[in-house]
Amino acid sequence: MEDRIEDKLKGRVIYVSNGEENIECYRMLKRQNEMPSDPVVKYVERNLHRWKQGKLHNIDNLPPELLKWVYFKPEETLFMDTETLGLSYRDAIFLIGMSYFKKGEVVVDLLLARNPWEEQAMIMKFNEIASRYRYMVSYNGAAFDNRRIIARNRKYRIRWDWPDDKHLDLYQFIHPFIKNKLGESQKTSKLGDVERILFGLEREDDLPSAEVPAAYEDYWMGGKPDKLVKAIRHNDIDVFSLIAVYLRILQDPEFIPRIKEFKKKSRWKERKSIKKEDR
Amino acid sequence: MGRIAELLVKLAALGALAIDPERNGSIYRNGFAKIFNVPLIRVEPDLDLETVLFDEAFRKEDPENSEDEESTSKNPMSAYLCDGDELDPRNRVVPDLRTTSQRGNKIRNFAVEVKSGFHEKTARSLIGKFSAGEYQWWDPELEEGIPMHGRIAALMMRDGIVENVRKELVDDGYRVLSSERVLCYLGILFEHLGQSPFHEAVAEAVPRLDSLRPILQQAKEVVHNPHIMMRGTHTADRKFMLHNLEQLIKTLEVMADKTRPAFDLEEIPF
Repeated sequence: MEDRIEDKLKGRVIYVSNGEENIECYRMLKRQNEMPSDPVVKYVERNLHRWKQGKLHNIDNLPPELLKWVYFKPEETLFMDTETLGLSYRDAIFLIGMSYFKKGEVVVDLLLARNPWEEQAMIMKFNEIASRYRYMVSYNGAAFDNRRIIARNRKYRIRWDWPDDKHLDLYQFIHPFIKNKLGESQKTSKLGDVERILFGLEREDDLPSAEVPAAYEDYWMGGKPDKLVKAIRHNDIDVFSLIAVYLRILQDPEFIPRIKEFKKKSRWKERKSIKKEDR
Repeated sequence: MGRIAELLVKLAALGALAIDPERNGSIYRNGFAKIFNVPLIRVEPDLDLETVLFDEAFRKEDPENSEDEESTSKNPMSAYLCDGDELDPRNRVVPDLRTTSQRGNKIRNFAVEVKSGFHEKTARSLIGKFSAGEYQWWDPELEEGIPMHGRIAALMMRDGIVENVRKELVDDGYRVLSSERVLCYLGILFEHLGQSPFHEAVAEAVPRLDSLRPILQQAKEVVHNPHIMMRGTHTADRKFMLHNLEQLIKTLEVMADKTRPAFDLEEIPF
């Protein structure tokens, strides 16, 4: 009977030393050609080589100083998304999804804490992988995921930080652009909304975010892994979609005004931080 | 945190019952036998319907006090002050666990109080708890009181705290069981539980753990860093720990019944 996550999702147990002993978590690696063929994946496949060569439309048509906050080289960029047990900073992270560029293709790398005691190994492995990259791209990560990872590192007495000026939060970038296309009652946009608006992709058989913590708890209480598997698949689509959304920003001329505007906001942030230092 | 500490002590006690790999009682000689100076320790189950009925019968007899005591009266651990041959339902103490020990035909009952935390005053709160006189549990089958022969203070606290309060507790009539001992015997227990014939039942009880070592690690945290373990950032850790302990205890309760030692208890030297 397949009642363990290891039986349902291909991966391997990895070991990390915490200084006293080796601790473990579960790692799942997926290559680009293993992703389902949908408009998001096709968009990435079409534009990936252009990104590699720095030949995307908006890169060619904007001066480098305007692109400073948005354009990063593929080998320097880590895309990241987390799944957590709640919205509070005290709640644990159980899944960190990453996607990055490796040997000419996109790799989706998921780190899973199969139970709450594997969180430390997962966080430490993430720190190790993230340290190879210069920039991080996320969806609402500046306000949520990044802060959460810092808080969880602190729980394990690990000093880890990721500066905001090396972090592009696609939510902050794209929400003002698409908010008019959302429903009247909807005040925030999810990554699924962005996929729908930019790529016409409707996710099927997706587990609602609110049910994810319960699915995880049910699993470590001995329940079946089916719902958790859905949550993990949701995350691997998310981290792949981040690349597609990012490439769309650099490729679609519609985003040029937003890139200029975003630059102004970032410069304001920079001036503010300089003033703070002067004080 | 308190509940986790109680379950850790209960797990260690049940483990001593369940494990007898050589069928010669060696675990008893080396384990709890030395701690309690008795060869066999049995921990009572948490819920006993008959005890509840007994409590309710008491409440009918004494309706004036029934409302005040409602919160504790259903606790099957309730022990009552013994006034001659009579038990007084209004004078009650509720120990955390109850153990039954046997040496030859001699059966002795102990109340176990478990304390965790980082303040000596938590351990000192036990002093004087049983000072009113002799206490007894009620046996609904025999319809008579079960005498409390002794009491054990299991202190799941740092060694320094245990040493500071040990003398005061001993003077008050407690046998003190230190966290160091409990952790040591949990280590022995987990080593045995990871082997045949226990491995299969344990894997079924805690299917999300590949090894029992993390439980021991968390138990050490409960003892040494309780102020950190009780933080909101550790909610999931505590919940998972409680779940695993409850599952293991359920399994051990069944195993403890099935694996009575195949040796003569009187032959065990102390």
